[in-house]
Amino acid sequence: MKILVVEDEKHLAEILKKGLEEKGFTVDLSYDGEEGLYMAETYPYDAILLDIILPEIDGLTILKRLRQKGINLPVVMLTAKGEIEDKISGLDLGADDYVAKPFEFSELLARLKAVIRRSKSRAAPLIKINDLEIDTNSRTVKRSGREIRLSATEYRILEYLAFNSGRVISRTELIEHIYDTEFDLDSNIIDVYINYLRNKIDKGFDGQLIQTVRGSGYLISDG
Amino acid sequence: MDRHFLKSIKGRMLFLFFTFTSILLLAIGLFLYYEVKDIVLHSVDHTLHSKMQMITGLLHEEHGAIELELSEVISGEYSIPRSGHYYKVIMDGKILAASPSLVDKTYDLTSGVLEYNDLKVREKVFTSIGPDREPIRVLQHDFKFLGRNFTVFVAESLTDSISMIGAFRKFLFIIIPAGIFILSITSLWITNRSLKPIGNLSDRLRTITHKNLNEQIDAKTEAEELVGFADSFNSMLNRLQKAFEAERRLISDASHELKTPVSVIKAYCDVALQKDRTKEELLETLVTIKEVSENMGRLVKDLLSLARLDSGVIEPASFSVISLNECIQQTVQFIAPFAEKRQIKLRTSLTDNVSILGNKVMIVEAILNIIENAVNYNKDRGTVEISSFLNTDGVIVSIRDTGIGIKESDTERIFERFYRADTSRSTQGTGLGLSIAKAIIEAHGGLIKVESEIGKGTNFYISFPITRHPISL
Repeated sequence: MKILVVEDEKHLAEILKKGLEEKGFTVDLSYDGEEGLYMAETYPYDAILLDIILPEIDGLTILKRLRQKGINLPVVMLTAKGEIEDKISGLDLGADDYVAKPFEFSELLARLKAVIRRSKSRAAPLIKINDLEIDTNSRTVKRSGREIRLSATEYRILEYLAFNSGRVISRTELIEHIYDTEFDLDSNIIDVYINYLRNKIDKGFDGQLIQTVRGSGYLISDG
Repeated sequence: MDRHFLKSIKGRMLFLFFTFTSILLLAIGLFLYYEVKDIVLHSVDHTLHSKMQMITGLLHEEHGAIELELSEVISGEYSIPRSGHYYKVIMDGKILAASPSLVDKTYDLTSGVLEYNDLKVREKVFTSIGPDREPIRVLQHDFKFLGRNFTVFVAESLTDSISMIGAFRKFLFIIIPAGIFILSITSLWITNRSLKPIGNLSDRLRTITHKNLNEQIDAKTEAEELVGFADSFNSMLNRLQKAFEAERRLISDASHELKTPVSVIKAYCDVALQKDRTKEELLETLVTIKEVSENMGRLVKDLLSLARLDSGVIEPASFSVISLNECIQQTVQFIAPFAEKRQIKLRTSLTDNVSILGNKVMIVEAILNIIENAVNYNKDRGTVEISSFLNTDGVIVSIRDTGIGIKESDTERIFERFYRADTSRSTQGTGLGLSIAKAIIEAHGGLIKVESEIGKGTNFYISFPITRHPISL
């Protein structure tokens, strides 16, 4: 899952990136509103963490412009004001949730995950595909009740495929959602990780879950 | 209670009205009473005069003897005893004639008070007691007739006149208090009616709280006299609203500014505790937390400084004579290590020692904030030039940097609280330094101005009034 964090306080932005990355997210940072808006419009993110008071363009305006352009990705507002009026105006403009500063990092994380799940039409944190279970909270994976240990990148790929199960995901899309924007690698790297993943979750079990769609990408499905 | 009542406009108006109407009505009553009494007595005197004329006209000589021949017309009232009409004629000290009504001819009609004495016509008027113990008015006339001395007394009872005056006095005793009472009630009504607009206005003022200070009071509908009052009140409301607005904004800004570093510290702690960390990772976290909390400490200190300045703690009474050069040099010494880190040169060229009246700690803080600003927004290897010179009004300190400069549109705003021309939080500082400097300088009767050119640098000018110059140490 790839998150855009728009926050002008650099220390806060950096620790958010670090904390979220440790929890399995990919994070892009922007320190001002103009750049933040550009990035949100240009790159595919799974959610945006948006501060309200920003240089150049404030958070509420960014939100308004995104919604006007029909970009419906989940937005969590981050605000030091925390005042009722702000909450209402933000929600009116189409924010999905709020976190008031100073916040509990675990709460921020939970809210962020919840809005992403909702946006992928999966309210429950547990994703089940046949006998494969992915707990997106504890980031643990089980198949037929047996726990499978995955590396951070393997987990991210599996989670993204699982969230979008039944849909073919291209290598480019995977890269865009797994690595941050500065990442500039051959998309063949995905094939390498898919291979590792297959070895861990498909090998020795009944039924291939991860399928290759020639010329298009990969698919995870119940079938 | 009484004292409170007299303190109120209503009480005062009633009291004054009551006093004045009472005095006025009493005076009118007294005047009328004496006037009526006068008129009545006058008419009695008039009657006495005509009767005197008649009686003296009846004196005549017959056969060498002088006689008084009463006419039919007037003999009636004088013939009935105790009729209240009397006369007596004395010729050469002997009673010549007396009215039959005066049963005792020797009765002294002039035993009472002499009211007036007209020497020219030799007439005297008495108020006296009649033979029937009734009050009488007596006219005495002395004259010579046919070589003899005559004294004629004519008297009339005053019983009717006195009862008439008494009736009038009774009437006044009723009409005056009634008048006072009716006028007082009327004045109470008038007062209540006149004061009603004030009551209405005060009811409307009562509805104003800190939440609806922007409401304006319109007194035109109440009373023309209250318009001025309402205007002053409205302008006070405006000032209050501005002060409240500024206060509210400061609190909102301050809470925002304080929440940010708290969020950073908290987020660093939360993330650090998220999993097991190496010693190096923890150290890194601690260094950041230390830096952020130091910034926060500065912010708190600046906020307190501002709050103190706002509450008007700086009093000219506490000022002492201080050397401006000493203040500047101390500040420069303090800031030098920070400037050196970025290889920024600090140059000073100060005028002869100048003394100003002020609080040294505050002045140093103000200058420090400006020089700090000049260093922070300077480019590396830049210069900050601090110079001072005298002009007719006082002393001017100029602080010129070679920094990034301030946009024309921002030069007004840089003294606003939490205003940063550079909106990213990359540069250090609380956003309060220049507001504090401005508040301190203005509290010292000074001025602060700024000139700037983008890319070239900024020049701050501070002016202070001087006490005496130059003093040699």
